[in-house]
Amino acid sequence: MKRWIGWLIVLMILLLAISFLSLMIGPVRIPLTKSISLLAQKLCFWKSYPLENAPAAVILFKIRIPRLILGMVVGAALSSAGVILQGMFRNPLVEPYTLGISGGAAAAVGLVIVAGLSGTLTQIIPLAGFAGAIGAAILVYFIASSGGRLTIPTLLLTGVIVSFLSSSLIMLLMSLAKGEELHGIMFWIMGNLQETNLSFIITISLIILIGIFISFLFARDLNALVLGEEEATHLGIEVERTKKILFILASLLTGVAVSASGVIGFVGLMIPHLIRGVVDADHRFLLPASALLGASFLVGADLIARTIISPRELPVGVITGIIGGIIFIYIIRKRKVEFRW
Amino acid sequence: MKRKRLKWTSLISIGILLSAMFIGMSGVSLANEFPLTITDDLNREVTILKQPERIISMAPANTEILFALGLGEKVVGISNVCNYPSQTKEKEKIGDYDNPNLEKIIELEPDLILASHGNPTELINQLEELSYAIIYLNPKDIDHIISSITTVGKITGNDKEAAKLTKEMEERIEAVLSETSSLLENNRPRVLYVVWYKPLWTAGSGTFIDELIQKAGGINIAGDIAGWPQMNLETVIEKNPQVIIIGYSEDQPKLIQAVRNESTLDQTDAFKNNQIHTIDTDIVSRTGPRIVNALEEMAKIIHPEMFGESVSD
Repeated sequence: MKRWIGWLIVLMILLLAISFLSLMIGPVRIPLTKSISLLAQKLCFWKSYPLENAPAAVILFKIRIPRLILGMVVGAALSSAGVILQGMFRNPLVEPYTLGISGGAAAAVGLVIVAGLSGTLTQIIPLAGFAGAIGAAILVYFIASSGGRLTIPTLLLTGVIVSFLSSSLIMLLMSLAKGEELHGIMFWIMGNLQETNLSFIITISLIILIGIFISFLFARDLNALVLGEEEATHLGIEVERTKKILFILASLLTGVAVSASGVIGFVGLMIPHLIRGVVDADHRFLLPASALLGASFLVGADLIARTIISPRELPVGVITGIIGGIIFIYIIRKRKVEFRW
Repeated sequence: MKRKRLKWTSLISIGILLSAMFIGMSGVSLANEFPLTITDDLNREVTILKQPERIISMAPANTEILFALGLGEKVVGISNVCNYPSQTKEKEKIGDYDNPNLEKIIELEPDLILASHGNPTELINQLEELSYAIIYLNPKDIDHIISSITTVGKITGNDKEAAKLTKEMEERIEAVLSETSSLLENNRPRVLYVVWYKPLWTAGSGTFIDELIQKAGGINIAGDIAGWPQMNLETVIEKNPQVIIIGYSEDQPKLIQAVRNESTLDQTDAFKNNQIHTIDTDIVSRTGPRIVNALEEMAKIIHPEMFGESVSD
């Protein structure tokens, strides 16, 4: 218990440090003292903030802070979804990506872009992403549970098939798309945190925080499920119902996250393994710790994505893939991570 | 005596040679001197045996050049995206720009194929191996577009029309440049060109859009980045564009709305002064005669005080 709290504090400090860095560093150089004084003034004046329209303030408050919040919640959502799915499936390779949820989102967004509907509604792309993610999840769920009972291998296999199906659909859309549309789809598939609509970001943050909180309530059930379904039943858990709720929860978290950021792979896969391998696999710890580390990781990756070749930006999904992959290989080689459940 | 005759003959032959060279250089209508050999933009030497009668154009820019030279009748096949001028509707389609259909091309029995940047090189090689006369055009700037038009005129035996068209284009370009080229840095508005949003995707140096913005008397705020960069919003705010131009195409009619809704750009001069315009993406990106229309339209958008109000938005 004590060890858990120690680690959680470390992870929180890490998140704070990375967040601070990502507020201070960007393609446009704002001197540290200026950023801090802007922040201080904003906190003092709040609504009647006098410097509202100064470029540095716009950059800080309307671009960097929304983006920071988005990075945190999306990172947390993806890694929490990873924890839930890996736990309930007892499979180390499961994450929103492999279950077809992200793929469904990407296919729906591709459809909207190629149909020329982007921009018709302010948030049509996120809406399509969310609908696609949830649609794919529902599809997977219904195909897999056609026998009345949700068996895990069937669910997993269905997920992989839906994932293949949607990636073929994306290929089809991309080969039909014209230049700009093609890029629009690509940007989305590779993940991007360039979102500035604060009320939208706050909405999805609330949903994600509530989702993570609810999943925390199921931490003990997840611990039991990891032992096996029979054992879980013996421990007094309503396995079928719990699996349904957890699956819906993971789909919702993923759907909301992808809707805002596009497809960002690897976070959901890697972060839970890291925590499990390095510290502890108990879900009461694993869930909050993964959420924190996922948030730090994505914020850090986005910091790199937007500064490394500035004023250009790289898609953040590319960075999470490369950096995450390298770190992960390194840690596996050092044998610090055992795939224990 | 003998010596004198030799002198005369040599004088006459030199005279004939000189005049032949003169005629050759001035390009006056010795149009039908086929076969002719030219070097295309892939540095390939291509020989055209006779004046082409059945032409396939694999790219919209080439199609526009051919029609502008009055060769519409001879065009037997075009790509799916060739949509200008309106007569292209009736023409046979050979497939996508980036994926033309080899069999369809062969079926149409072309005696000249105009390829362009963006057509797959494998296909060009295949067609070359099948000994089709295929010319690859890849203009890098507006001057190069003009020389491409001259080339097309030459290989189709339409030098005269080409000369007329290029002269008109040069005059119209000059009309813009004479106003804009002397503009000082601080009289040149900062321009942001939006290819896609979101994320923000713009046109940097080395693109026709960049050249058009400069020639129209503006400064491209992405001019220090090469190619087609995805750009950071912070940088846009810092560079504070005075004019925002959004590429418009019928397929993406709502792109302008997506940009207008971007509240973080509220404080840019372009938003404050409502200098948000659209321009047809076809004319700014196609390396054909309409690039001059693009230049004139850009000039109207960027310098309405010099060129009159733009009608685009």
